[in-house]
Amino acid sequence: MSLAYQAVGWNRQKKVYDGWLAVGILLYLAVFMVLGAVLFPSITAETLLIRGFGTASFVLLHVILYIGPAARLFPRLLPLLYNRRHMGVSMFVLGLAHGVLALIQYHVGGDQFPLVSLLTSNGDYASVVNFPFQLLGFLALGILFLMAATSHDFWLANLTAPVWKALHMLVYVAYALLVAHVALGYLQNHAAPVTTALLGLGVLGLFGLHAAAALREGATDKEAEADNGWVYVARVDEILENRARMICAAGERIAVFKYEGKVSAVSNVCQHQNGPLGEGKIVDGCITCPWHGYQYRPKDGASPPPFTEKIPTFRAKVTEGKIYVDPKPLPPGTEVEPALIQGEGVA
Amino acid sequence: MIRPLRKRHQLMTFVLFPAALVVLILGASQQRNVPTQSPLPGPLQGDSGQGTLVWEQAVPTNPPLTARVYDQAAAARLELAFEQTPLIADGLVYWQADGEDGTRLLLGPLQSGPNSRFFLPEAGRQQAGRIVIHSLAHGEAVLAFALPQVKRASAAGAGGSP
Ligand code: HEM
Ligand code: FES
Repeated sequence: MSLAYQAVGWNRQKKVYDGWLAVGILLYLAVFMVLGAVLFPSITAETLLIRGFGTASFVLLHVILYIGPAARLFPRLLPLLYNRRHMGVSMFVLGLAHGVLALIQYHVGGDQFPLVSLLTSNGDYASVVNFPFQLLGFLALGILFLMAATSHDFWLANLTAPVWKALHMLVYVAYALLVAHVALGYLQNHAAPVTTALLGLGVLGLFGLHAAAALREGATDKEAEADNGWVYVARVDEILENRARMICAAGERIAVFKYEGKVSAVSNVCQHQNGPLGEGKIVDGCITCPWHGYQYRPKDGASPPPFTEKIPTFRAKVTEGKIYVDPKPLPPGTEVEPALIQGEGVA
Repeated sequence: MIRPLRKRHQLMTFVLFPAALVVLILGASQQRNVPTQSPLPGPLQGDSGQGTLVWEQAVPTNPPLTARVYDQAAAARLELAFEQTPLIADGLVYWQADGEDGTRLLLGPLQSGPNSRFFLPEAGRQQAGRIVIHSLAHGEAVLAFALPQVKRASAAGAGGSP
């Protein structure tokens, strides 16, 4: 990937994904508006729109945050992760529509500039009932804007994946702000036991899934001990064909792949968004990232031409059916002869 | 993800989700029970000329207000007549007994237009107190004035009402 600006690379899978996304959002909004107008005829169209956009955005944010750990625990859901950033941008656009409409409805027509009114009209920070909850929504919208604005791969490459990832992790801050936005805003003005219960379940479920995924990751991150410069990985028969085992050594994860009677070890960190290569598999002879499908050759960690990504490689050996790696990373793209399982030679 | 980010991700998971839950529980526990369809006493119908005027006072406010109490056959009636429609959003009218924590009785919502009429409960005429107009929108009382104990009109004087 070069630093030059590239338009979004479209393919069929992305179009199908976005199609379903658009249908889902439009269907939600339509059902919300029709049900709202029928069940609560006294509510104005503006209020219905504000609520429709606000809840659509918040529901979509839940979906987005559920997909991550769910795909970690249930790899069958990985296709949902593939184009999640378009979900994120849609979520931001819906939240923006909600925020702008709310600003117009509640802050235009006063004697202050609407944004000034939003920021200053309520200073009741010590109160729960009267808390300036709209500010919380505004702050969250700011974070979502930063994320949507940097969502393109141009920014990913420009900021480098770790910085980009750290920025996009702010989504958890935005989420907490939005839960507070609803809990201190909507819930204070409407006795809504069902909404409260649903929101509680939403937060608890997200917490549970993230905690489960985090605990599992923590186990993989236990540093493996080196013996004579070699770290034990697993027995050959413990790894499935074209799959990997991950170990943590020298501070970072190593993915050790078994394929075609050979074993190769590479860095676990994908160059794209630092996805876990060891959770992917070998497709067409290349290690394929489970997140968005970037590919690397097992023997030298380089992407097949015309791509130019390179990841560090590691030496591996197989002795008496046991796999070992040397935890010293070799420069990205260094070719290493794969360890042969039959011959049990040292690479 | 690289390991330091994974650590930060873990920290955020174990701090921010519980924090969100705490705020949600706090918010839910502090919910005011504001009924969307409030069972307020309905406005008094009928001709305001009925009954005997037993008390009248001009209240210096903006716009000026004249408060009157009429005796009727069934119950007393409180009338608030503003010179113009007052700019009070969501006004609720209460009678409150004098004293530290005198009972408050809800008479009803301020009606649209300059004139509002309410039943004055028995307690409201046997005891000195005051009339309070509370604005829901502002969350505070926007107007209050004293209402003394009001004598019952003589049987002859009450003859005005059928
Ligand atoms: C400038 C930013 C924002 C402002 C001024 C704002 C304002 C408001 C207001 C006034 C309400 C109460 C509406 C009512 O009671 O009918 C509300 C509710 C809500 N907001 Fe926001 N908001 C902002 C940003 C956001 C964002 C970014 C999201 C979600 C991603 C969001 C999600 C919600 C939800 C789910 C509700 C409760 C349901 C509803 O009434 O719409 N808000 N917001
Ligand atoms: S993280 Fe996107 S392809 Fe690997």
